[in-house]
Amino acid sequence: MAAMAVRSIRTIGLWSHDIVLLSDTDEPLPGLDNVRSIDMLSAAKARYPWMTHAASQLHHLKSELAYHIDLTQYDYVLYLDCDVLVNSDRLVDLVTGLERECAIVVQQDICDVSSGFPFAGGRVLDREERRRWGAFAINSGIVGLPINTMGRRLLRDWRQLNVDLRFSLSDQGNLISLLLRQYYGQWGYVLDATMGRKLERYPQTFVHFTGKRYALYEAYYAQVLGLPLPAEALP
Amino acid sequence: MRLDAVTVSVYESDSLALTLANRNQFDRWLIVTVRDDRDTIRLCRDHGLECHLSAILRPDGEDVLAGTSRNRALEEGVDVLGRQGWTALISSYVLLPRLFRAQFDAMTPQSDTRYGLRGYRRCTNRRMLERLAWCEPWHADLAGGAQEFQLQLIDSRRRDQPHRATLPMDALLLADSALHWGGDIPSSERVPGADYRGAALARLLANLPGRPTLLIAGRYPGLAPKLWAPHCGTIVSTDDFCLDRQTDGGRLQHIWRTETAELATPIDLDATGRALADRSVDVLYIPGEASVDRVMAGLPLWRRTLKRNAIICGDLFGRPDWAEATIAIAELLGTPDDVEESGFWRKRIDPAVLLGVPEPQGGPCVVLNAEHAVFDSTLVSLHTLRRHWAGSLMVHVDGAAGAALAAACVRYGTELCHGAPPSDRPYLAVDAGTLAMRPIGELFDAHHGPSRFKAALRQIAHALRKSKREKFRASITDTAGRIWKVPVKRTPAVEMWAPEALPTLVRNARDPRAWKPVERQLWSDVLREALLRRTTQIRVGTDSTIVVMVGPDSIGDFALSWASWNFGAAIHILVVAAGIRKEELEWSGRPMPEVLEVATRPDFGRLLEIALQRVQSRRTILLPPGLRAMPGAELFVGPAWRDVPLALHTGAEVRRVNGALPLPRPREPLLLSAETELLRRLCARVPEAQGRSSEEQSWLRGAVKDVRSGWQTCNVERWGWRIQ
Repeated sequence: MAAMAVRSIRTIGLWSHDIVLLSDTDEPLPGLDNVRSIDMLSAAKARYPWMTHAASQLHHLKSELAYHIDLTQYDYVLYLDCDVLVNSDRLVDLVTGLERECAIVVQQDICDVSSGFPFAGGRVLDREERRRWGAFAINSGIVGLPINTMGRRLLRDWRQLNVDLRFSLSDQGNLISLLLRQYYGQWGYVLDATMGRKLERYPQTFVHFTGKRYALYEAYYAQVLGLPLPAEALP
Repeated sequence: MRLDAVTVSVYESDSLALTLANRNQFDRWLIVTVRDDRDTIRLCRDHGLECHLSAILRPDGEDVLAGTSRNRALEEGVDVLGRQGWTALISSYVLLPRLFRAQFDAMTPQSDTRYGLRGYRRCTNRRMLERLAWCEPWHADLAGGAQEFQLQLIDSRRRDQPHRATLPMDALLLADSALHWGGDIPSSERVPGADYRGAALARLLANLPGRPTLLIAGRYPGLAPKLWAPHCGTIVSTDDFCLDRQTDGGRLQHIWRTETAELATPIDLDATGRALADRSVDVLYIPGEASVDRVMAGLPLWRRTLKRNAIICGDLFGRPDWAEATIAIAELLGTPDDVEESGFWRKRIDPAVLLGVPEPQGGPCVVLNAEHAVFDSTLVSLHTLRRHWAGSLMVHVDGAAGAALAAACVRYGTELCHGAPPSDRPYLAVDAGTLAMRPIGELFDAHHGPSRFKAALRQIAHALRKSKREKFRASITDTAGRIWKVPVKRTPAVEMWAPEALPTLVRNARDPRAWKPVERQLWSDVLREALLRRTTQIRVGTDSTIVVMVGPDSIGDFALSWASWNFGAAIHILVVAAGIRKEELEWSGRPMPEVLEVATRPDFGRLLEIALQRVQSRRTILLPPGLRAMPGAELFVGPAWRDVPLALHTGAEVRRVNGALPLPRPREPLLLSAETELLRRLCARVPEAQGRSSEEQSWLRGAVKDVRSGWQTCNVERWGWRIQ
């Protein structure tokens, strides 16, 4: 999936800037030498001896980014889950716009806070908070952070919250609680994104295949985006 | 006395920039930061602040929140300052009061004591911060803690733990959401930080004939009297902020006197206000944030001294930012006639209509237990109890009561009690949610108390169970401490009783979802009456018509909503009765608005089109039928909303990013304010509902597509509305 996601960013999104792959190995992806892979898992386990995470929970470690990358050399960081495919060449313009606006952004989810699900902040927010902020729907599969004071602080607070809770809760739930309790009104949605549910071309720039829709993801990648499947994905 | 300070600022340059005024309080202020936080380093350089790069924290500052890192960095800063003298460890999120240093210098602090602040006023958006910065003293809503501020005499020889104490001062505490203009405040509603109140008061006074007598409800340094005093004949002030009881050696009092020294006639009233003649005050000015307690305390004096048609004005009004102050003003004084952008408000008033404050009464009393109760339950009980009991009524709450409850208590002539009920007189205790159906006095008069022997047995049994409060929903306790149960019937039983034999107290089932029609009806009737009693006039944007569409499924919700809608006679309200007859709608004794009957319910767009044929105003506000107005509610009053082609309500207030905003969620009711002409055009163009979307959602999508980026979102819950 990582190879497909990266290739869609490069080929469809025409992204020429750095791409960093948060992984469980330092080995570069085959055929993608211009992508830096970081073994987040080993580093996190070394940093937090109590940690018992498996590679499948790697995405909960994205807030540890600053330990591995000198963020001061960037103006903006856009995080994408591996199950997000870039679907249009508007990516560069979109990120440039976000950087210009110093915008903290997340993807709008389909499941809102009032649902009370753990991944919608249900285990972090109390009942009154879930009622008050019920209309918010936040997905941390796409997160954009300006590397300015507020962006750095949000990243710092998010990381610390995850660590304080020993990564036991979803990082998305923690991010939701931070965005609503602390950074209310300071962030926005990336509205040029959608959830991938059908095998037909979406107009949005990002298509997020949540819920383990691997087959649909692969089919969208190959048939809709017309990109060659990586060797390991071929039967 | 020398006073230094240390602040750790790692990626906090934005909060530090807003609290730079703290530098005036210290002789030396050291900022500890990290190498990668270039913004803080730049800010320090630009403003001449002393900056130290921490050797303890990582250069990227990622560990500043981990464990004790921040405290160790503060210690590092103290070392750099030389480890001596009085030193404050202060967060970059704290803005100290302007006269902090003056007050501190007037004190004699103990060398073996570590001081914190008494409390904090939390600013949750930028507008609050900028307005409050000029409106001291602040009304703390958070208890002080050592986390954000501590002050102690640093002595490297001292080894013992210092005592803890608090300075009698409150500070502003910035939330992250107060650092930048958030998505919830349109640009034209932003009032940049400046002292508006002196100028606003001067403007008001200058437009009055003659030289009015001004009563200031709360003298405090910083009211800029030089601006407005020349317009006054006499200036009288009360000591609402207790300057004469401050432990600062009278420093604040002295500064106030200095500020008003050149004025011709400043009179400082004592607590009784006897020096002020009846009906002698033309203008009453309430500086700073009003609260229910403050207003309540002032009411007796104001009732006596204000002239007929006098003006009351103050600094801060508006539900979004000053909910408590707004409730206090709206419910106890009435909705202002005019509110400026800065929040400065004014109202002409006849003092005779001001509420009286309940005097403590003797004799038996009724105690309503409002602990852990939702506000509606308390209100409903309060309403029926007051209807059937003219004697002493108390509301028991655990901890501080909210502004809404406190104001409701004043309205019902009720005392708030926090501790144990009075033991010197018999009292009836009832839980919130209990409804009185007959005069309560009968319960005290009836001699159905147990014999001494039985009462003693019961007391022992209760003590053994340790749950006497839970056991009885209502009970009477006499002066000897004997308790006996008072029967509380389930509401459905009401139907079985003849009117003259109704039970005195009834109660609905615990779970509202399980209510029978008779329970729902009774509750709804009482709540409607109660809402009618506490409703305040709703401020609405100019040249607007209110449209509400009521169908068979929303008649009940609308009846409750209507009871709370007090729009004033000038506002045109159009109720579209879709699929129902207008006789089915209840008006709670209020004048009936214009009702448009539509026999069969067409799709949403068509229905709106029919309604718009009756609308003459420039803007149309479409409200859902289940929308209740709270005291001080407002609708699209800011000038920003006048020119927004289409404004939609959503509970998700986010920043407009790349020019895009999210649509309201499908589960949210459709509430909008739009230019009427635009709505007419949209109704003609937007196709009928298709697919799975509801009619409203489908219409909305089409409408938003049509107006492109010319639409905005708002959250009416912040304006004092509750969606049922």
